[in-house]
Amino acid sequence: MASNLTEEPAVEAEVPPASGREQTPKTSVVEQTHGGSSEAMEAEAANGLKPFTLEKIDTSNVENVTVEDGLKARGSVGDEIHAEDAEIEGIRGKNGSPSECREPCSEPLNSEEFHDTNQEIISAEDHLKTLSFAENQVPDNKLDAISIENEPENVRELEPDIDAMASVASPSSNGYAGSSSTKSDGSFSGIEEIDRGGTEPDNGVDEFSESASWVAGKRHLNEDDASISWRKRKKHFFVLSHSGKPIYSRYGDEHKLAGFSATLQAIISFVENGGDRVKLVRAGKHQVIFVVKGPIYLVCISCTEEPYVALRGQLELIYGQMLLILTKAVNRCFEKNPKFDMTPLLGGTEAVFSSLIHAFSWNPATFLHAYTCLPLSYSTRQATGAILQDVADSGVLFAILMCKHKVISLVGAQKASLHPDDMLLLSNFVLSSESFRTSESFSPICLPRYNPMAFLYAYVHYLDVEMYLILLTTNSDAFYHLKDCRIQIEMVLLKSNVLSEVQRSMLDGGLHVEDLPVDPSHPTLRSGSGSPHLGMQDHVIAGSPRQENAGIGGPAGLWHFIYRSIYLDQYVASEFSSPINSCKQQKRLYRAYQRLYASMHDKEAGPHKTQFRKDEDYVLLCWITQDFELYAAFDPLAEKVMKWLGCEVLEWKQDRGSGVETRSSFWSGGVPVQAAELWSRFMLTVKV
Amino acid sequence: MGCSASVPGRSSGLLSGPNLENSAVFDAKNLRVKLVLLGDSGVGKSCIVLRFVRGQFDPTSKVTVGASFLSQTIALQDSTTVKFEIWDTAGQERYAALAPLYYRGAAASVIVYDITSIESFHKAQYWVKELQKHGNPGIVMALVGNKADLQENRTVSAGDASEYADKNGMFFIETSAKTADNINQLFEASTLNGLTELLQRDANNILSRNRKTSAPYTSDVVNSDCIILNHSTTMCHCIVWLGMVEALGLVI
Repeated sequence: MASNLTEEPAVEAEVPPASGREQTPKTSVVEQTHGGSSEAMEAEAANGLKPFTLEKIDTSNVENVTVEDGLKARGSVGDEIHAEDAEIEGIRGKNGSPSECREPCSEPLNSEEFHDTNQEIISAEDHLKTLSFAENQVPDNKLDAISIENEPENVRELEPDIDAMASVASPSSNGYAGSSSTKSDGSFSGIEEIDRGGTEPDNGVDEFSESASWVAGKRHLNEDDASISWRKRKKHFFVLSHSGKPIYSRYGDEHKLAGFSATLQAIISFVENGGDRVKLVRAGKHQVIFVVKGPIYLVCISCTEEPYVALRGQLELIYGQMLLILTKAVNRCFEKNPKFDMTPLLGGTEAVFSSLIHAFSWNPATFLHAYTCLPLSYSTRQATGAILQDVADSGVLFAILMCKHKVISLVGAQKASLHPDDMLLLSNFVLSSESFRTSESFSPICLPRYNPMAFLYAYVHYLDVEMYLILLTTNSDAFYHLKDCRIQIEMVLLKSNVLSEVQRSMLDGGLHVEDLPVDPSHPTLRSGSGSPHLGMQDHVIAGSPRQENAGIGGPAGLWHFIYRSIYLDQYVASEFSSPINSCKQQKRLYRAYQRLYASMHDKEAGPHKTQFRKDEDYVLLCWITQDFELYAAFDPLAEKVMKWLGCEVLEWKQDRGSGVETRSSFWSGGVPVQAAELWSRFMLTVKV
Repeated sequence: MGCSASVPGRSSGLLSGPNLENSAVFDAKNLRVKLVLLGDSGVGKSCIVLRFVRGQFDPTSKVTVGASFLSQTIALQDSTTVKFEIWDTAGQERYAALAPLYYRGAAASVIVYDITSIESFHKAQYWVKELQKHGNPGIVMALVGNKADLQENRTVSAGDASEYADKNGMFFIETSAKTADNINQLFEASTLNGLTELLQRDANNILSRNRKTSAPYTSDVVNSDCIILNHSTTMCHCIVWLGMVEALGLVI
């Protein structure tokens, strides 16, 4: 096998120290990265894990003879798939159907690579299969489950599934540009990935705008693992039970994916049998991430180049969303009946999950673990908070007033605290369930971080098209009380003009970097550290000389930033403005922040205090103190940024030639980092 | 007063919602009826309610979460108004265990099935049994075959459904939320007929029970039209509209 390490799939597993399993740490299981600077980060991330190859597992358990046979057979299947792909592509091109349009394959497929990776995976698959049939006598529940699932007549069905699995996990079997391009930031806006804002016709199959319409018909129910289109999707999410029964799949009909599910289950339980836990399989561009939550397994297969921790976090959120709908009590169903079919219990919730998965590509709350507020004047927010507080004092656990995904005000009963992830999942649930818009509702929901075992009762009512009130209580009889509370709240909000202010704020949008106040007296090119009125335009000194910031962006070439208050669990993000206008660019920046967050919070290498990196797109800066985290993107061509950041840093960077800056002292008050009270327009000043 | 949600299954109050305790005025001319819709998912419960309450029909299916609450007031010929407080429940399996939350204290229930789906008819029978076992003892039940506009796909015959409804003392009607066929009839005629029956039955029950057991009952006069019968041992309350009592030929 001539492939280098980069192309070799490896299982990275958490190995309990006492297991005594032979493991050879493999150093660089690094993906091809985009831009020199992120390479360092990726390496850093990879070093933190303790990978060992699948081969190690193979030899410890199964005879080589079987493997060899399997290899030959599968290799030819791989060829067939390949040819099929090409054919279908051709047909699509002729049809020109908009739903089929894809980014053209920019580079020829590397068939050698394909076979290498494919075979690696397949050999493992083969073992798994061998294992499940030949080692039936092993008294293990999970193994029994597999062999029951795959009764002899199903064996033939299973084979193509395994092939499909291999080809999903293989870099060259898919035909989109991102798969073989090394530069690749473009691959972020891949075929099925969803973009925010307007739709771009060239963005391919599933580009959806953030409008409500994107939910409809997005699951491609006609697909299964034999469909070419299904295999080409860039990011799959699966949920399955420990007996291999499918529970949820982002694409395709769950029931048709039973065989594929069984394969995933086999991989997980195979590794579990060795006393290990499979976390990640890398195969070229693809990562297969596994999360095990009791009897529920979650798997993500992705070639989006997102960091492992980010994808893992997304699986955790999907699990949380499931708990929000069903509570952890669902585990009992599996205790009673291991082969329990959970799909009916999630009936009608496809939109909730697809909307959450959509949020993974635009909503920073999904990786920042913080929520964001709608900009409002301090007095308005105070007034809103006061009325909600009255309600909370009357036996409501949480009173939340929101506008889309932004919080207007939020109040909790004494000692009750609301986790930002629960906020995210709750607002996603409400926003994606259309029925809440038609009338007031009373529905059981569970806040997984508050209490994963119990239902709360949520009273939900839309005050206008985008603004809604959620009242949470532990009392199932409280509907009429909550209804009265809502009437009271609505009256106060109407009287105090909060409703109209909210609507105005929605129209005005959030904070724009161009509007950041500038301190003209300061010798270096700083932006408004001296102004206590940050972002409040009426306080910006009229006629003050703005920085010559190359025509676009904010002071010192600042294009965009996210400020996260650690104590308040909130973040403020500036609005996207020129030159980050298109959905593609926004998503690219979003992913860059996501990587930055992952590397800053890397437990093995970090935690870091500051990071500076430059690539052809922007200069990215992250600064973490005990109070806040700041993520900022600057114009890469603005030399002023460099001056602004301090020559010291630049020199340091040049000396080391590294993309990662880990020093903390150079930023002496640059971008808008202020005490929390100055942010009252953008944040709730109390922690809930 | 009236049927209290905290003693489910014991009270036989009829024209009452759980919040009657809070409302100061009983007015026989302004009745309040708590009505619950039950049935399998996708049979068109929400469509029926939205057609009745807002006169709208939205063919895009919006899955109900938990239960939606809507109200609609209709005027009867004799200038009595009836305010329906409608709980439109979600048909999904995961909410089945939570259904008592919504049907508790309901005076009337509408159990909906889809005439093109025999499974949904079986599910409707499940709900009938459930209500017979755990519902308000005096609950009025209507069986509704929805999607009557899809005659060509019919799998549940009107005869079978009607027979089943008769056997269980239910009112039966086929509706179409899409064409608005029989929607108002369902709420106006059937439910009110049911309620009249219920009034009669309940009043009779209370009276006869009282006679049999010689248990004392007291009546509170609320206003000139309406009294409340209080049964001292069962703690049942019943609002009886005197006009109705007269019309039904009851003797108090």
